[in-house]
Amino acid sequence: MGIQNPPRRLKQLHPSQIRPNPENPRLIFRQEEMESLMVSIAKHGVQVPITVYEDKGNFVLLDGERRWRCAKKLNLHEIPALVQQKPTDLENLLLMSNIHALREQWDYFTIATNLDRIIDLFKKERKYTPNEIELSEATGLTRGQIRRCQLLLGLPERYKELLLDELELPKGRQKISEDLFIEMEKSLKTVTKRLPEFNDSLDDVRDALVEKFRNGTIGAVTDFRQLAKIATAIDNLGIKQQTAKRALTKIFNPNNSVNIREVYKSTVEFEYDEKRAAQHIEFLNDYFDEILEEDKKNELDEDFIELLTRLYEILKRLLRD
Amino acid sequence: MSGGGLTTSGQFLTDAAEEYFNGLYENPSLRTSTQIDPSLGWTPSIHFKASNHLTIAAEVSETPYPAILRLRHADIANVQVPIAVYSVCPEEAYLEKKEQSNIRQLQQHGYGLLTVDGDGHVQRRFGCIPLIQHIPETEITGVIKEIPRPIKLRIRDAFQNYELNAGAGVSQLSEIVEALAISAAKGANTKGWLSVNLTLPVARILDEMFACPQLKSAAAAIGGARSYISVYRNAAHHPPRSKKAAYIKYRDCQHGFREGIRRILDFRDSMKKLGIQIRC
Repeated sequence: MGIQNPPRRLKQLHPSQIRPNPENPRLIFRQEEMESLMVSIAKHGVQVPITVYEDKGNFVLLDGERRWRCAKKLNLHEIPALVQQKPTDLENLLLMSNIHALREQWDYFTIATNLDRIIDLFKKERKYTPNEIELSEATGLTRGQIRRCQLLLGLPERYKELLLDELELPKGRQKISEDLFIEMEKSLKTVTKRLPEFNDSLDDVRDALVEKFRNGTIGAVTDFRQLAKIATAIDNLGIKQQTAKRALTKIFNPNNSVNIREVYKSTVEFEYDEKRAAQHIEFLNDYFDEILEEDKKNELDEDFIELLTRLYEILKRLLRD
Repeated sequence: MSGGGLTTSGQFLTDAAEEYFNGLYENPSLRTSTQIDPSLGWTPSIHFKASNHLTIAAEVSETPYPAILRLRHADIANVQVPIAVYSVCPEEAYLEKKEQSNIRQLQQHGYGLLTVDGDGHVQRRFGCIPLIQHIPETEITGVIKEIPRPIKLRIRDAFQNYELNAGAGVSQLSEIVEALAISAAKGANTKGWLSVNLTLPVARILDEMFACPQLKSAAAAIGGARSYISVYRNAAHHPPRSKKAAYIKYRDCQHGFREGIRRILDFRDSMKKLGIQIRC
């Protein structure tokens, strides 16, 4: 779903003639980053033109809100701008998303907030609901990124507000991140799929996990993957639902300092290791069968034989009883 | 533009600052995110006229000393309009340890600081004066550190007055120059080099000193003191009639205060070399 390249012309515009684009997915402009750009513009001027379209005598930004904000703050009297034709609402939104998807410093949340609107406009202008592949092509986001955005979009409003407040802070001072919510939501989806009874207290669970993350009980966002593994152990390892539920309830209790890692370790870690080892053993068994069947025993080198001998000794010890 | 700040979090701070200015300056005509002067490379978040010849501006920011105020310090002082500037930041940022040196610098550079707490209450941490009038206190302290305590105290007093009222501060400094001149004339009388009536106008006394052969080596310092008094004695009078006149007055007062201290030091040194002790 490509966006046509309309004819453009370069103009020098007064910053006061320009209005920000309400569809800009970048909701956050951090002080430190903005000041670096402003100092650079104060020294060297605006080197790359911003992109705008004309609308009722004014110009609306398509690309370059940070440069425009700096130009305004520095009271520059003109800013180079590429003026292009007014896009449709959907084209405008897709342009903004593509522009921001290509940049390094953007937040998932800011992109995610526009995804719903993109879907709505798709339905309105093109009369159908885009699937993940079409959304990916249209927005320039990968399918993985779209799935992550959708996880954020599915958050209850108060968590979105919490995240937005946190994103306003300089990177160094942010404790709660989009990654936290993305990892947490992914794992909670897995948990509630296996143990739907947790759906009733999902917000309490979220509160407890966020608080435990804030106070350091949960040390890393990747720990949430172990949370999911405790739940999937019901299917993958055959552990009882009650065992998994008890383990997860301990983690979800806000009044203790039990973290995910220790519960994972005491409940399912050994079984998961055992399962992984079993897969390796099965692979080895197949390999040895193949060697015997094809009579390649003499081709094994000495180092390999030595490793096998050591394995044999260990197996003897393991299987003695 | 989000409350006139550079970032997206400025509206809350701007609203709080506007309410504060409305209360303190009786609902002035506040302007947000508009230029003060086309030649000034800074669009403040808020500005308004506090009087016919003083503009107060505020920059809303997440940090106490935003980059734009550092960048444009000299430019703000050079606009032909006296401008006093507040920085407006969250109380949380003001309390951060890493910001303390920036806060000290902000004050030293003549800016004021308003902080806003979570409920939107504003607290003035320190005030500001027109940047064209501003002389850093550290500069005064450094220059006068070698001189005797009584003179030092009088200069400090004049400086405090200067920060409230530039003209009055400079007039007070010229009174110190006068007091030193009378004291030096008294010393020269005692030595028998002069027989000048100390109740004469100070300008006349200095003229007598200038003509005295024994004080010839101090002629430059005496002439300097004479000219300083004639220029700055009445600096507090004649209020400015326009923004530009106010700017020129503030600028001249700033130069005058610095020059006054130099005259005092020169005069005292020259007299000391001649063996005349001056008291103040």
